[in-house]
Amino acid sequence: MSDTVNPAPVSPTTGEPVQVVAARNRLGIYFLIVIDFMGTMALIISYAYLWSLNVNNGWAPPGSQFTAFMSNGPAPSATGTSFAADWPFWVITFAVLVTCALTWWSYRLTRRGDQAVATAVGAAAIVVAIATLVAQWWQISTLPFGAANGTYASAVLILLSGNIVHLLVVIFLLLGITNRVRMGLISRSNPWQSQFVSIWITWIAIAFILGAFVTSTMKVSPNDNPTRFGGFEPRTSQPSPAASASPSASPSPSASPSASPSPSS
Amino acid sequence: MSSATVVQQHSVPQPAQHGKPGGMIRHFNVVTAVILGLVLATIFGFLANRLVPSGATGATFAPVLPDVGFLAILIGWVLGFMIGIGAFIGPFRWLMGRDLTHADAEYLAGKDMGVGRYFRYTTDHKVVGIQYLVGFMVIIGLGGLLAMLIRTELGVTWAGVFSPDSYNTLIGTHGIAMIIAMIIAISGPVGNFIVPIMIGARDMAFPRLNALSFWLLAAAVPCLVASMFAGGIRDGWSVYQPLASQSPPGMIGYQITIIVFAISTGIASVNLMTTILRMRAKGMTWARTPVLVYGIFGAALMGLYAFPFYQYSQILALSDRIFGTSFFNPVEGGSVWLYENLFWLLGHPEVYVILLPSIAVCLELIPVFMRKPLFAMGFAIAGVVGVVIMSGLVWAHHMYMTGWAPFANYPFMLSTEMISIPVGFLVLVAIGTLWRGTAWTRLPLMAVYAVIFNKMIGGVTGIYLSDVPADQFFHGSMFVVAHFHYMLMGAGLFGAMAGIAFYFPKMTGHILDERMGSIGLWTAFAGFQLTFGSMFVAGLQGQPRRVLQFDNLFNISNWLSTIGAYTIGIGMLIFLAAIIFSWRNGKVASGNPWASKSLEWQTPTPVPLENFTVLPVVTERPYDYGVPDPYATAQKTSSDKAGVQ
Amino acid sequence: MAHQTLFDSDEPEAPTNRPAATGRIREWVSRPYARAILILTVVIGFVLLPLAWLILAAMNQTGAPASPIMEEIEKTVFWFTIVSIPMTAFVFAVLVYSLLGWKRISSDDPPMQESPAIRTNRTGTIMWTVVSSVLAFFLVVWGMIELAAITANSYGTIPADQQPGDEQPLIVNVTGQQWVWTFEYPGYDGATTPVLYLEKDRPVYFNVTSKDVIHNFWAVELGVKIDANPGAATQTGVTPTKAGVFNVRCAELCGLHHAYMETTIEVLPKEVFAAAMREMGGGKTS
Ligand SMILES: [Cu+2]
Ligand SMILES: [Cu+2]
Repeated sequence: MSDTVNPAPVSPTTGEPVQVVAARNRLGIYFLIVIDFMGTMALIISYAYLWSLNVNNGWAPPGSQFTAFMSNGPAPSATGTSFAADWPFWVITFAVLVTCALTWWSYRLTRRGDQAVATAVGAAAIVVAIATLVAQWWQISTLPFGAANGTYASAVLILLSGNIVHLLVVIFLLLGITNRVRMGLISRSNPWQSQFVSIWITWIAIAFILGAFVTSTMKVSPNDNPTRFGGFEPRTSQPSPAASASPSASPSPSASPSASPSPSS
Repeated sequence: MSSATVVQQHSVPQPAQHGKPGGMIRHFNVVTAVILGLVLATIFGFLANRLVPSGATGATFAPVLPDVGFLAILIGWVLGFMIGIGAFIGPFRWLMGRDLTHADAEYLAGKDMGVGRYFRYTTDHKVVGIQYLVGFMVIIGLGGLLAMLIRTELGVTWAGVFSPDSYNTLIGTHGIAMIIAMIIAISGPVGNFIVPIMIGARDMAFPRLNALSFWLLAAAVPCLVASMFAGGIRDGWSVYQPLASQSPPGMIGYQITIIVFAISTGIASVNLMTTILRMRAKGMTWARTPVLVYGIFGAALMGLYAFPFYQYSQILALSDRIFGTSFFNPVEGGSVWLYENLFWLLGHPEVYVILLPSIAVCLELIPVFMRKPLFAMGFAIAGVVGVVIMSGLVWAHHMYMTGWAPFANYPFMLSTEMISIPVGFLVLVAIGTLWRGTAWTRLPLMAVYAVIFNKMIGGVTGIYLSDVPADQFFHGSMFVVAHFHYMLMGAGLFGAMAGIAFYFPKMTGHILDERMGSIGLWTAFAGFQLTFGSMFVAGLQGQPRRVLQFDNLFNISNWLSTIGAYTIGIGMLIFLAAIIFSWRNGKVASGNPWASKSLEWQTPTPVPLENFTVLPVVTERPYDYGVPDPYATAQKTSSDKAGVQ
Repeated sequence: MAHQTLFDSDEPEAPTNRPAATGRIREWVSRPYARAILILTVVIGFVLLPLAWLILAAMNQTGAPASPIMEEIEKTVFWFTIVSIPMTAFVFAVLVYSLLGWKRISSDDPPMQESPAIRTNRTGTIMWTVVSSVLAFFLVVWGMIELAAITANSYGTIPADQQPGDEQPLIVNVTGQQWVWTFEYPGYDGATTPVLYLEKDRPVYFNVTSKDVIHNFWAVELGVKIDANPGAATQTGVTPTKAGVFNVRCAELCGLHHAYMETTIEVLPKEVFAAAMREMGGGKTS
């Protein structure tokens, strides 16, 4: 055919112009983001739905104890606080935004052909991302509740676990892309993979913002009069077992999901 | 044609060839995958056994060990299998900057054309298509066997054949196995093998992701089988919480299967959609794109947006089980309605993920056998688009009777009944194409008749269920079971049989045995009507679904159902025998045995490695069959005369 | 009549060039296949018609309808069957006639003969769209009206405690647990029974919940169905209008003995009901 004198650089594996391959890959990245977005939405919907229902007054039972998984390790003390502090969410989100900005900057530099600086900026992004991962882990391990302390705890922890997975993916991508910039595989003539990583990290930053937003805006459930489990009257007409139990009393109210309910009146 | 240009270009850094083409992946295939999977499963299970406090140390941990142990085993299996098949080599090479050379890519695509390429991480879309076809038949065989056992229990009402637990395991495993099988039934084999050729592409957009999607499926399904040996899935395919949290560790098999299968489906969707959007041949405008491509695209799009909800519902359930969170545990604040919503946010679109490709493949083949163009193709496209848009808005019709939001029943009834309009368009296109044609009554066309017949019955019974007052009687009864079998099996599976019979010559190089195939098809069809016709009656009489014992009132309909089910089983076995027999030594097919005009049939059979030596250019609408309509010309001349007068 | 111009096969033309509508209909009907399709549609329609009554016969085998709600449900099912028969019959007629009426070739080789290249048909597609939209619209409107009626019949327009003396509704708290139903009567000193006792012609309001997993409270012949959810109480209600013994079944898989989670409903005349309640320990008659 006539494209033997094609001036555009071609992909080594398929022989198509790199722009064609890049456009295709970019579309694929967008679709992958749709998938991840829907998954994140599932978590956020779960958070908001449980928050609005407050089934059996179990959204955020005060003064609850750390009872379930990993209880062999150092358990955070039951301080009576039910909600996590806001600022770590936003600090970590800010760190992800910094990573995102660095990645885009690295991509810009690559397009300009500034290989050395691009590599350095990419390395900086990796450092920030790893620091963020550490911070995220620190936040999880210092939360004033454990996984079994009501649905607020569950919803926050699953969002933060999602953050951890996102950060691990980001670190993998940054390691790869920076290495490839360093090796010259990502260069002025074919900088697209660097762009894709930047696009992906932009979405990750949005996911962090969404998570930080719901966790810091939805705290006390709007439903303060939920129906008591296994009965027909509102929960508040009964003494709440979780509220009445003193923090130092029994160490394990009920961790098993299949635990039979307390007998009715 | 491309290798010539590669040599001339030096503006992009060329990867160096390390060793033989393919590199590390040469050492991996399905045998190493299974071995590594088993080894890692053993190691993980052993570690879990050592590290997790056992039941003896404290009562609170008693249920934890078998759960964590089984989870560790399954994770070990999936990880080991994927490592053993070579799925992680790609990311690793990318990380290290050791890109594939052209020779590497060709090796991965199965350049040697040996049988071995079906058993390793091969990227060629035709190999993946065949792998999916075989995978589909294996899974549907498993599900069908379980169905026979279920009907045995229900037919022999005077003697309990299975214990309640075994029975519940049967229905749960049957359900989810069939759902998985039907989701891949057409999008897998036909979507992978045929669609790229149909749109004039050399391969899928992301060949390595294509291989990954199949091998993830291959890793996921054994988890489902393993679950049967760990107490089973006793809670139906929908595994409603908190019932599922009472299940033995087998439930974890379900959850891991779904989590892995959702990844597989997601990347398969991304791949298909990108391929269809970006890789159509020159000149293949949207108006010139065959309707099957639309159907597959629509199914992929629905899978893309809906599957994550299902996946996350299972992640949350697993977290409840392993980490003691309480998303679905109402004692601790969880909500059963949350689970139901997350589940049905996929659950409904999934019905159309199954149906759309099936209907689309029927619409694709009717013109070939009627020697007519597709009738009102615009309506077919509008139907697909309408279904894709609306299927995301109807999920709560599965929750009319849950009481989660009584007033939501009004809008969901509206959306559910409105979806019958785009679905009706698809029926219109089908019967419009059958209208006034010369029918070439070969097996694929005859299967389409079965599909339309079943589709009508499924559709009409669906309007009762879409209506909240009527659903107040039918919900949770055998009527629902019969209805969705008419849809998913009557339309979905028979549609898949039509598609397989139609594309069999292209995929295998042999014609599917007409006589044997027809006998199988019509035996299954007759048994199908008996089975699910009687099941409608049982539902009308008031038999709840998923029961193993029932009032004497329901005996007769259940006996008939069981006789019908065995007939289906016999029919399906005959059809399967036809497939196996024809595949091995059936009549050799020419490149285009149906005299079709679409692109995929213009390639030689077997299709060469990159499909086309010269990429085709499309200049015509699809379905250019037929001669001028005699009635139209007659009328035209008469009306011309009228105009002159 | 509407179907007569369906699939008129001419290309869309300027209206001035076309013969009068009656003429076109007459011309279309004169074609052999058109007449055959019409006749087949009518024949298949009449063959299917008894289904409307057979379906009800199957539903009524155990004594339904025993409440106004069930009557509304059966009315819905009946009319939905009736309206879907013409459409179904037409599609089946095309299926049958496309096989038997036109030419049929079963050779191994592709047929040489091509069929008329009908790419679309404006009249036909418009007719189909209009008819299917009207049908869908009918279903929606019917469904909304019936749903409103059933809602009014079940959990009520008048709050339970505001109804005058004799008319005061019975309140039953229904609790599902693996694998039994428990019925509690707060108006009768909280008497508790494993069998549901109802009073004929007296409205009853159900509060439904579960103590473990999801169950579904299905009073079959009364047309009542609502999930019994753990952690939530749902409401529904009904007025039984027929004395007799009916069935409660669990319609949501709830584990091992789900199949056996059934009990009976006894709808009793007023005096008998009061006596039964006294026997159960609920002395207070209200
Ligand atoms: Cu649905
Ligand atoms: Cu039950």
